[in-house]
Amino acid sequence: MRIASILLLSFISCIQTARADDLTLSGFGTLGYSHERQERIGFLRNTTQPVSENSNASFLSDSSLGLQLNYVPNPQFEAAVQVVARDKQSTSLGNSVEWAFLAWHPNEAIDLRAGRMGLDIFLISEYRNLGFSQPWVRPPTEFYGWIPFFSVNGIDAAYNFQYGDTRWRIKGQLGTSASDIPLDASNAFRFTADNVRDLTVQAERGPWQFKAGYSIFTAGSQPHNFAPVNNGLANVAANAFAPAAIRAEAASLNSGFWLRGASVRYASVGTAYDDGTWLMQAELAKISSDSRMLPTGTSGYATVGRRFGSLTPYLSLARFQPDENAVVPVNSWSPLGATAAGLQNTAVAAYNNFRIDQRTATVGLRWDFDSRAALKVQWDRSHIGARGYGLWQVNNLIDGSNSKNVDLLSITVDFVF
Amino acid sequence: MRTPASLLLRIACTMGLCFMVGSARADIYVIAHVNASTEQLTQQQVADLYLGRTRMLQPGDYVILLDQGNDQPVRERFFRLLTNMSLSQVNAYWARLRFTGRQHPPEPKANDAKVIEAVSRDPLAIGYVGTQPGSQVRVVLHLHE
Repeated sequence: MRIASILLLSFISCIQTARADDLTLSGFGTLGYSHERQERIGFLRNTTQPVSENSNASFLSDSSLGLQLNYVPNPQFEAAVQVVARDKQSTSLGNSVEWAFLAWHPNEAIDLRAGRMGLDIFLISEYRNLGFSQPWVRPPTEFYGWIPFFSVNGIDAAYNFQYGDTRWRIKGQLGTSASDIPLDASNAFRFTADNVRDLTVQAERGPWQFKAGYSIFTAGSQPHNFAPVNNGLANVAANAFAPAAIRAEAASLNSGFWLRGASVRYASVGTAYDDGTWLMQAELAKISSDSRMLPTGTSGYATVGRRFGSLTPYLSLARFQPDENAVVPVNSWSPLGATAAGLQNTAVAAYNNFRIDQRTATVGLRWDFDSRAALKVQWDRSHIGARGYGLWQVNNLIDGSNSKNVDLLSITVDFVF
Repeated sequence: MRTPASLLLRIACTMGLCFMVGSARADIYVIAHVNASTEQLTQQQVADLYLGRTRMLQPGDYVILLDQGNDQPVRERFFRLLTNMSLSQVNAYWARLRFTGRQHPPEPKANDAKVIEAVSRDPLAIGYVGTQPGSQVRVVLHLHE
C-alpha cells in the first residue's frame, strides 16, 4: 500500500490549492421497462438483482442513475467518486459507491490508481451500467449478467504505448471485491473475493479494437445455509440403516457442496469494430472454478449493427454453454422420510442454482433522438436449458427442471449529462 | 443537425441567405497562444487530443484543451470535419472514457469569444473557433468544410 500513501500525501498538498473549477459533476442514467410473459420466472439483468419471479414487467431491471464527481487539480492528479443507484440486493451507500479512487499520471504512459475502481476484465465490464455508450439495451446477459462483481478495492496500473499505428494498453488490477447475491426471494449472501488479480491487454488501430484478459480470484465466503446441508448430507452418508445407493449419493453430493476457498478464473478475448457506419462486437470467455456451485463454461456473443443517420438497427447472438452436466436426483430418498427427501431437493437445487445453459437471439433499434440521449427498443428470445436457469429467478426446482423459451421486450432511454 | 441554430441555418438557406450565412460559418480554426511552441498541427494530432488519446504535444507539456458547449453548432461541425463522427457518437465515445475514469473531457467554453480569450491568456491552451480569429491567437490548423 506504499503507492496509496504516496498518492494520498501528494493529494493532500494539491487540495490545499483547490479551486472550484477543478471540480466537475457529471452523470448518466437509464429509464428502462422490460416485459416477459412467462409465469413463475423473473428476468434478471445481472445476478445481483432481486426479482419477484411472479412479476412479468419491471421498470427496475434496467433503470439506473449514476453521478460522478471528479477533482482534477492538475493534469497529473485526480480524485473521483462515482455513485450508481441501480436495482440490486443491497442498496446501502457503501454498496452504491461504484468507485472512489485517487489517480496519479506521472507521465503520458503510466496511470496508477488506488481505492475502489471498476472491475476491468472484459471489453465493456468497466461500463456495464453506461447504456448510452452501448449499442444494446443491456450487455448480453450470457456474457455480462453472471459476473458477480462490479468493482475492485485495491490498486491498478496501466501502461500505454504506441507501436506503428497501433495504440496498446496493458493494465493490471490487484485487490478484493464483494457483492450481495440473492439466493431466492428471501435469502442472500455476501459473496467476497480475495486476491483478485487481473491483467488485460488492449490494442486499438483505426476502427478496430482488441482486448484479451485473464483474471483469477479466491472465493472468500459461501452461503450460511451450506453448513446445515453439509451436516444433513454427512448424516445420510453415515446412516447405517440407509440403502448403500442413497448413502453413496449423499456422500457424492456432500463432497462438492462448498464454495469458500475455491479458485475462480476467467480468460477472454474480444474485438470491436466501428467505422462510423458499421459496428461489430464479439467476445469469447472461458469461466472455470474448482467449485461446482458457480457457473462455469464457455460464453460468447456477436453483435452487428449499422447506422442510418440517427437510427441504428442491430442483431446479436449470445450463448453460455455449461462445462458440467446438471446435478440430478439419482435415487428416491423418501424411504428415509420427508426430511431426507427435502434435503436431497435442496442440495440438487443449490448445485444448479447458478448453473447457466442458455442462448439468446436479439434484434433491436437504437434511435439517437438527441446528441446526449438515445431511445432503444429490443426483443430477445432466449432458450434456457433444463436446470440452466442461473440468469433467471425461478421459484422452485420443479420450474427449473424443464427447458423453456422466453421472449423479453425492453424499451429504454439512455442519457448522459 | 437537430439544434435550434442548425434549424435556423436551414431556414436561412431556404430563404436564399445560405451563401452569406453558410460561407461565413463553414470553416473551423484550431488555435493556440501566439507564443506557443507549435507553429502548425496536423489533423491527426488534433484528433488525438480531442479523442483523449494524448494529453501532450511534446514530452512534459500538458495541453489545456478547450471545447465548446454541446449545443453550439460549431462543436458538431468541428468533430464532423475532424473525425467524421456525429455529435452523439462523440458524446458516447467521451462518456465511455469519462465514466470509466480513464480521461476527462476538454473544458467547454460558452462561445468563440470565450475560447479566444482563454487561448490568448494561456500558452498551453488549444481551442477551436468557427470564425477566423484576429492576431491575438495563432491558427495552428484550418479545417475546410
